[in-house]
Amino acid sequence: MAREKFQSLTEQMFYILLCLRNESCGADIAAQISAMTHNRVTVGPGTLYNVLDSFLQAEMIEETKVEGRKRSYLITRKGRMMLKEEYRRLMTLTADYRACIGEEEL
Amino acid sequence: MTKYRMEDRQLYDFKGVEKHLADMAAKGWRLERAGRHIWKYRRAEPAKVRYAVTYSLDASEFNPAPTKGQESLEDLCAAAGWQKVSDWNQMQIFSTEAENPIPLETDEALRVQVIDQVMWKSYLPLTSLIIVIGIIMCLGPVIDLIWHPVKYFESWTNSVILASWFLILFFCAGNVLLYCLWHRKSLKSTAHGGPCAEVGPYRKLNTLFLVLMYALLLYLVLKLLEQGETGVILYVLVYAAFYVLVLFLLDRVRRLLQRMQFSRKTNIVVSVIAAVVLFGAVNFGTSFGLISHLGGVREAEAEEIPLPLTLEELNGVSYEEVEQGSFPLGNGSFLLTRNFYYEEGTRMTPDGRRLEEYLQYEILDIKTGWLYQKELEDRQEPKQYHSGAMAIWTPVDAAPWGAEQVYHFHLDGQATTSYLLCWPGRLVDLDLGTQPTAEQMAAAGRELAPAQ
Repeated sequence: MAREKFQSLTEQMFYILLCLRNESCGADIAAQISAMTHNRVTVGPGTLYNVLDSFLQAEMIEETKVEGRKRSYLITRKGRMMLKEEYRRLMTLTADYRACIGEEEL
Repeated sequence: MTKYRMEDRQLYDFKGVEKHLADMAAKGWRLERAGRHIWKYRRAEPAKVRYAVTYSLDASEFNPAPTKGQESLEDLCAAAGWQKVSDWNQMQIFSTEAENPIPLETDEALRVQVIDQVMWKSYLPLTSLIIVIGIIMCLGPVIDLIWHPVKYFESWTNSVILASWFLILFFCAGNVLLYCLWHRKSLKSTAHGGPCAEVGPYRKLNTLFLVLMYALLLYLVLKLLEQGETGVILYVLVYAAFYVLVLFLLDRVRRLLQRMQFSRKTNIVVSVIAAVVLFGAVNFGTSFGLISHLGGVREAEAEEIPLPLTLEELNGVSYEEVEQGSFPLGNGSFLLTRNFYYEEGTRMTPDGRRLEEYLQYEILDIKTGWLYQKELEDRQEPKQYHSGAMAIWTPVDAAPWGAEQVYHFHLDGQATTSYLLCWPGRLVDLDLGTQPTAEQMAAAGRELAPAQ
């Protein structure tokens, strides 16, 4: 799960939050991630369900629409901050790599 | 065609459940419904079916219908080609016949965390409660065993009860320990990107528990048969039958409330009240029946067991009216037996007076030296009663009694009519009602001494 409760995000969590910048339902999220990553990252339905539940509990996303059994979600301000924080962390890692190894080995 | 199987799976053993269900499907049995302990299967063509389980924290067997969360999960799984089969507590079971389906779980670390939440929600609190109750139930017999071994061993049932609770404790603590080990190993593995750990041998533990419990039950039945306590066996059987009936009724109550769309909270409250009332009624009813039964048995026994020492033998005179009886203190064990005897008699003295006399004694036969010594040492210890009176057993000359040792009971420095006669393997706590003469001592010693 989120390492130490969202101190950093797993890859799957990162993409789920990324997808929820636009209002999406669960099934759409899974499809978007597959498309966005060219099937490199797959989120299983069980995992997706539990991540969405955890994000809701942590108020990182909110439920925006309920149509029958279909539920849609949207990232919250807190979620955006988490996403941005994760992006910065990844950029720092990348920058450190570049500084140590250099562009030639990329 | 349907088949019912008793399944002893743990909630965290998702791999075991998935494999078991796939194996059953390959043999032509598809899971239809997973109950608390009994799972229902229906006959189908043998097929390669993939099963996968995931967890929904808001699922409960007391919910009137699947929660919105469960519905969302079902829809997500359906979109990925998985069909819901059944649920078992928070475990949600899905199946598919697709060749390469998207796995239900793609984050092992998240899976470990959710499973831990599920375990703390359903299994661990109840098991912890049973462990606490087990410790409390074992405490009394263990204290008796250490400090009052004679009291403990005067009934073999004490050992059976203690062994039963020890087994329950061992089983529950073993299962909790195995889960904790699995959780720890899984955390370590998933932190490095690995899969969840393999589960420990909890099913072997379950089997061992059942085998030992059945062995204990068999011992109980054989021992009761040996002692001619068929009524108690009937009691145990009636109790077990009522217990099963209550479990069945509670399940019916839960399902009825579910059908009537009562909330989860209402269902739980009503089920708990029903459980307390029904189990209370069964315990009270069967205990009352047992007490009535044992009362009848003891009265019958009192007429049958002959007294080793009677007033007539003690005093060498005949009595006009005699009332006597005897009963076991406890039901004995392989280490000791303890019986109580009493007699009251009325006779006319040569000068025409009506004289009432009594005699009572307790015979304790102990088969091991250490237990005999412990009891003797306990008796020799001066004791102060709650009233403040000081009780002391004082050694006296044993020769007139023909015993190995004899102690005279003194209360607050005053000699009483009670004596403790000691022979190897036998202690007799004797109250003659009057201070004995040399003839009475000899007669009592002769009749109460153990058979050579």
